[in-house]
Amino acid sequence: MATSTKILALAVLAVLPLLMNASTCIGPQVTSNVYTTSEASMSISTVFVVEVAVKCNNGEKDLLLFADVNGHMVPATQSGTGKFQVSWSDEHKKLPAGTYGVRFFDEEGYNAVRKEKRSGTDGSAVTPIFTVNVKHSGTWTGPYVQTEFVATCVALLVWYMAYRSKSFLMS
Amino acid sequence: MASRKQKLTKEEELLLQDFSRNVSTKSSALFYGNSLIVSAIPLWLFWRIHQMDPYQSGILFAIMTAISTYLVSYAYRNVKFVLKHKVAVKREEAVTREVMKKVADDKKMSKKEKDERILWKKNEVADYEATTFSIFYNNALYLVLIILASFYVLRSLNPNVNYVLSVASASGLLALFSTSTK
Repeated sequence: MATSTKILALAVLAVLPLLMNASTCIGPQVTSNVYTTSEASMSISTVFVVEVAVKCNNGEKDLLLFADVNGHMVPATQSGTGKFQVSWSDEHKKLPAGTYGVRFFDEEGYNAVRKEKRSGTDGSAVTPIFTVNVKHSGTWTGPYVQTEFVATCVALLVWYMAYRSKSFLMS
Repeated sequence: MASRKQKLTKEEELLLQDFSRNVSTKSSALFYGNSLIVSAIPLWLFWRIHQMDPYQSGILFAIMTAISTYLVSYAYRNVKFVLKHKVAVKREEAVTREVMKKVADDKKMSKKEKDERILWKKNEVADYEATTFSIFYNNALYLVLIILASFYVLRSLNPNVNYVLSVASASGLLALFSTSTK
């Protein structure tokens, strides 16, 4: 009885992978569109938005993608067939100018990264299915000197010149 | 006894004009025209920078511009009157030299006529210089006061209140300072 139970369990384990629908993209062709915050004066945090259109050579359409964003795994939202979007935000000083590599994983990769992280590593050894490089040129914080200050200084200078001329005439 | 109306001499007329605060029609038109333009400058400032709607605040703009126009032209008149005499003293030598150079060869002209001509030219030069300098000085002061009031002193107030108070205070202070004789 115990032997037959063991044989049944082994059979189920052998068949189980065949029943799972693990979708993998082979040879992905990726086109990406990236947006990053450019002006800090009108916003309180820097936002990154990455849109990718993925075409797999094996014709896989039912993809589930995850992105590694600054060490955090976030699911990519599907915005259309083969189109995904990932976005994140943080304070301006925590996202300075530079190039940010965003690694995209399928389900398998995601699980592998999680396993690596649980074992104490950062998961960088896991190969992503593709990587998108996000170039952020930094945020503009506004002019060094406010325009009304410049206008005030110019107006005061002109008035001072007029005052000096008047004082000379009145002397 | 019937009083005889005596015709004023040219010299007496010039003296009366000199010591009077009244300005000629031409000067008056010049003053009001300039003061209207200067008083209209804050309209652009408050419309584009402080985001006031020109249609909603149209009546307010019209009233304050009219008040400011009157006060600024009042300041122009006062400063011109004070400056005119000082300018006349400063320019007297140069004007005398120039007029004498022109009439030196005219033997028919008496000394009295020459003196009258010098006085008239001196008055004209002093009038013109005092008018233009008064406009320049008052415009510069008005713009400084408007900028300081609207961008620094009253910046936290509602734009309508900011506009009324900054225009009123700038034109009011300008009129007040113009009454100084120094």
